[in-house]
Amino acid sequence: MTKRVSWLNKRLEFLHGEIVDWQNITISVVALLLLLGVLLPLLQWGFWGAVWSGDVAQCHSNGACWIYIEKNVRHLLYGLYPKEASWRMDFLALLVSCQLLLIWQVKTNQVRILFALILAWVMPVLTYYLCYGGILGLQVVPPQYWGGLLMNFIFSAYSIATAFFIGGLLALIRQKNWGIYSALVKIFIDLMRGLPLVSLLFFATLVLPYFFFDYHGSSKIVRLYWVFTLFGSAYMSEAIRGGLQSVSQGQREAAQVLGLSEYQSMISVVMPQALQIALPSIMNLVVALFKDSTLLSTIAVLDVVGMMQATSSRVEWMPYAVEGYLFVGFVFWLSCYGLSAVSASVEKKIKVYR
Amino acid sequence: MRRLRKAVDVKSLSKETGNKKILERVSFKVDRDERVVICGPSGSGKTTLLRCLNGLESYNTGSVTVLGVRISSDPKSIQDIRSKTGMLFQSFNLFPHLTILENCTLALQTARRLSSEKAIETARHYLDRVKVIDQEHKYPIALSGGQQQRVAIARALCMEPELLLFDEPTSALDPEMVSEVLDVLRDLANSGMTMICVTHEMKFAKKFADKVILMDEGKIVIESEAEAFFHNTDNPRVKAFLKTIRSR
Repeated sequence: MTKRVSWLNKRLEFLHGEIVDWQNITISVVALLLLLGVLLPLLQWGFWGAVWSGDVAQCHSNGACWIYIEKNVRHLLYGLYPKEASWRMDFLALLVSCQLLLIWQVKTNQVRILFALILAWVMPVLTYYLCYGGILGLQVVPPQYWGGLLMNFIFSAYSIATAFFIGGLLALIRQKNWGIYSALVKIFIDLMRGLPLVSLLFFATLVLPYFFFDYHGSSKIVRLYWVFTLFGSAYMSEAIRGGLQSVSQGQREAAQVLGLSEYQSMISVVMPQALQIALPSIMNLVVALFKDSTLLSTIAVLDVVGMMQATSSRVEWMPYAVEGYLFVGFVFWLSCYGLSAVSASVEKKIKVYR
Repeated sequence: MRRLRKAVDVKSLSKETGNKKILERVSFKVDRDERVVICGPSGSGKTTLLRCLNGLESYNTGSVTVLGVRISSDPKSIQDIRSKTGMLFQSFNLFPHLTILENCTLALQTARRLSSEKAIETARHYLDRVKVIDQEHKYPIALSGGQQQRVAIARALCMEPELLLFDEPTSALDPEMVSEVLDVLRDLANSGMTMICVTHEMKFAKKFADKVILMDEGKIVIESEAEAFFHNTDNPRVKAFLKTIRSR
């Protein structure tokens, strides 16, 4: 008996030399069986029992109906945006992707900040007018038709970029001890962090219209954008403030005695280091805010989740809503996994000089 | 340019926080091209005194005049002093996110607004002088403590200061690296530069200093020529201090 166990041990050396005894083997086998019991039916449902092509009539309850995705992919991507105008969304998504890629890959920080500034302050305005149309002979598409996954992507990219700059400013003001201003910033941050995002979004939709006039029926998306951005900037400012606090006083003094002004020292000595330290928490926030953009569906914005719920409430698709949720989940998991990979690669680069 | 004879003139400088007196009516003068060592037991206020000279530390009463500029409530006076003064720290304080070369060119390009070619030329000149030119593209973390402190010296020299302040430049170094930094300092001393150094290295002080100031409890105990300081051990407090230093 013991001889056989030691033989097994030898065979299983690749498992980091864990001692294999009969107790361990039993537990492993039971766990494996349980896993198979769950995994096999799932694979059966999702892969070889699934309907991959054809018509909705061929779908059945024993397998996934992936043609739901195929038939509704346009709506999931673009919302209700008209087919003949959807090139505008494609164009914008491509533009945003290129800018993000540049922000990630360029060599100098000045260029990086420049692209981030464009993304945060120029692109949202440009996007609004391009999506809305009515200029350059473009067809007018009111905001209630905007939506889909591309909107989640574009909306959160702009919002996070804007939140980054506002958050940085708030962190600086809060750190400065500027009496009333710092106190106001602290109240704002605590307020934003203390309220759930959903309630803020409802506030933006239902309460704010009493204070602002409706700019050609479209200010809802603008209000949502600002509330989402301000929510993000509160968190962003705390992340950046953490970074600012961990830059040692000696660094500021070294910059001072070299004759750098307070502004120069902040721009070229303190901020770069603070952002490097804060990077993991900032990336964490980017992932969280991107996912939070699906909360727009709770206030009747047809983002990817809203659109998925709308399409799967049609009679023929009703039994296949699970497929829709899985699809959305998969897309978000993939994007967030990509973001984590980017974050890890940047952190590795920073390690070179830390 | 008219050269003032006095580099530093401190008159009855006092500083207190709460009811603790950190500096008490401290007065001393430093001549041009003079090398002064400030020593004393820890907590005696020597670092605070040094930091008062370029406005890193504030004080309550008294006056500080450095290179002809008197520190006043006008922040420009401190800016003025800092533009003519260099300072070295115990913990080097190199900028970890910049390479050795960038550490030296940063202030030249931002504060002095030199072109990048000119800044690099100046930086390379001083990096060569402290013998770390072969490390110019590395980040500070890749260098030994002694090398880092030498880079910090080069970074200060790039600004072409008339006065250098050293705050225990060798205290954070491993013993075998102390000498390479002290060699650079001695080399600097020989080339003629006003320097004020807070240090515990009495052996170095002996070779380096023209004048020694011994502080204790925020007061100057003794201020004398270096020669006299190390040989005239009549003063019991000097004797006691030298003894504690030697026994370490």
